[in-house]
Amino acid sequence: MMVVCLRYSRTTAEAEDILQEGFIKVFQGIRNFRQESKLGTWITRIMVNTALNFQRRKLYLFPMVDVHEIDLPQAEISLPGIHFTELIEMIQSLPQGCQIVFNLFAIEGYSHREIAEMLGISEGTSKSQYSRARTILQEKLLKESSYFTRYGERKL
Amino acid sequence: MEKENFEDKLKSSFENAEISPSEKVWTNLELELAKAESKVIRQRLLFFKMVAAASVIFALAVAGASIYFLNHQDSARQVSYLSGNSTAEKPSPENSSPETPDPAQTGSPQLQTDDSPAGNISGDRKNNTSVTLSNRETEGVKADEDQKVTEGHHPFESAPGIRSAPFDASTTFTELVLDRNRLTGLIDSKKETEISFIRKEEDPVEKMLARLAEREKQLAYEGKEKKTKKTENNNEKLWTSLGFAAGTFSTVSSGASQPVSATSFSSSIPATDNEATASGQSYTVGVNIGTRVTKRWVVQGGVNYMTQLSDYTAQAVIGTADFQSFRPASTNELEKITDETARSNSRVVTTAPYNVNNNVKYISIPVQAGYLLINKKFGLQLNAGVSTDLFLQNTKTAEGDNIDSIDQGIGDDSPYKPMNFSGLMGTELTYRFGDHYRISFNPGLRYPFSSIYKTNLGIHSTPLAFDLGLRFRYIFQ
Repeated sequence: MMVVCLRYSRTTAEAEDILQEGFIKVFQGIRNFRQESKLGTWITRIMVNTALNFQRRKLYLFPMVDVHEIDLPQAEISLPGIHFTELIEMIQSLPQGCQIVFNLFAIEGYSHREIAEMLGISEGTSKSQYSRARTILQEKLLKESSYFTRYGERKL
Repeated sequence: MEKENFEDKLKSSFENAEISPSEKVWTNLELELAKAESKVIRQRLLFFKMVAAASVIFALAVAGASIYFLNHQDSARQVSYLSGNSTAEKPSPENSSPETPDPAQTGSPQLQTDDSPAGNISGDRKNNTSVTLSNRETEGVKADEDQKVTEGHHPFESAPGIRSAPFDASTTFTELVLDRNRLTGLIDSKKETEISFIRKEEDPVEKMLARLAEREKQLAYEGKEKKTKKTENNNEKLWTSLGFAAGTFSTVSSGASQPVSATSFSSSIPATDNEATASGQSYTVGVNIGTRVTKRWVVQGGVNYMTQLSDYTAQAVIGTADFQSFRPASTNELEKITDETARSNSRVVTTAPYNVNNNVKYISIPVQAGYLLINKKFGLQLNAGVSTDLFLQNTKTAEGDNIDSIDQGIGDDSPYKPMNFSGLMGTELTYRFGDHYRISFNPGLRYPFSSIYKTNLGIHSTPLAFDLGLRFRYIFQ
């Protein structure tokens, strides 16, 4: 769950706060858990919601607008066994709004419409924010992979 | 599709991704949970205190009301006392009667009649029951609290990954991840720690998830305060209850079809009317059993012991054959006197007005259907039904040393019908505490369908009784 929280935050401290708050909700709400889903899934959902509540206040500071960026060539991205810790770090470096949308879409698997509802933005904004996030990540990944290729190091 | 590839790759990178947070997260979590629990417990204790206070107040109110009512009747009678007996100023019956201030002292309605040991016990029983219940509930709450606190500690104390920080590298590791510049320098050390990192990190979080699942199962098994709406409705299929009720009755319609007073024996006997029109108090104690038939309908039945006490002014006594001792006349005896001959043949002697305490005891077997208007922790139930009243005994006690009391059972001598039917109507305001207990406050009305006196007597009396009851239910399933 710490990984989940890290993905939605900028610092470890922030992630730990979200984790703590999330687990309080878990323990208090466990008696209502009806086993309609797996326990892990249920807890993840609580963590995500807690993270969103956390960030919601900050979202006002980073209003998300449609980003009209030039579509960069969708190059084939290889993730040469890149470790999740690096990925987390890359995700954390994304702009606020992009980070959340990216997490919700790419990893949690929500649709753009659902994300729009959850965050109170338009579907178009969600799509463009995701697109932007993806672009930034691809650039970073390219850098990483080329860097390692250069040095001939393979990551486990 | 490239896009899907990218996202799938990302997702798979995060599978089995585990990172351990610092210990302070767990410490803070413990603190917060403990805080929340103590708040809940405090609220619960306060609530039970309120319930206890409310029942004490209710009992006192009922006692106070009955005393007031009794005294009110007393003072009304004292005005008309013309008895030659000096001690007849105040009612001092030979046997104990509820006019004594005992109810005030004990604070609960007691049945003080001669041959009702059950009555006195029931008063005590009520107090004991409520005390026992509140003790049990407090214990239950304490046990719950202990369990929660103990269990709350489990996930954190025994998770080795938390207590014994496996490597110093692990804490440093996460910090370094965020520092991109130092990333390159630590590729080698990362390689080593990665593998052991993942292995160790799995333990505490996995354990915690397992414990959460365990705890969740435990809670489901205990079933304490975990009732969803569904379980609430399915619960409470069968229960038994112990009930006490106290109230008043007054005769709505009465009259003598034979105009006794229209005869020339006007001095004789208005007492028949007096007895039949008397108002008084009724006390009931009994056990009931109830069962739910549909989601909202229940059926309740039981056996109650009911006593109705009234006072009236009599003006005649009946003497024994040798006229050595006298006792109050019963209605049927007085009704038989239709002419002078009958009068002289009977041993009726007219006296100055004196007070008679009339005590009629019944066994009442009610059967009621109830509708659950509200069926949650708080409940509201509307009841209606019929009760079979079996006349047990009638005791007439006169104040005045010279006048004996008389007990009459079922038989030809008694003016009361051996069996009568009454209609019942009432509401129950209930509260459930714990899994198996419900307490209810039920005001109710009782009205006999036909006269309580034998039909051949020609006196028609159907006293309407209103009482307030307290019931303690034990729910079996």
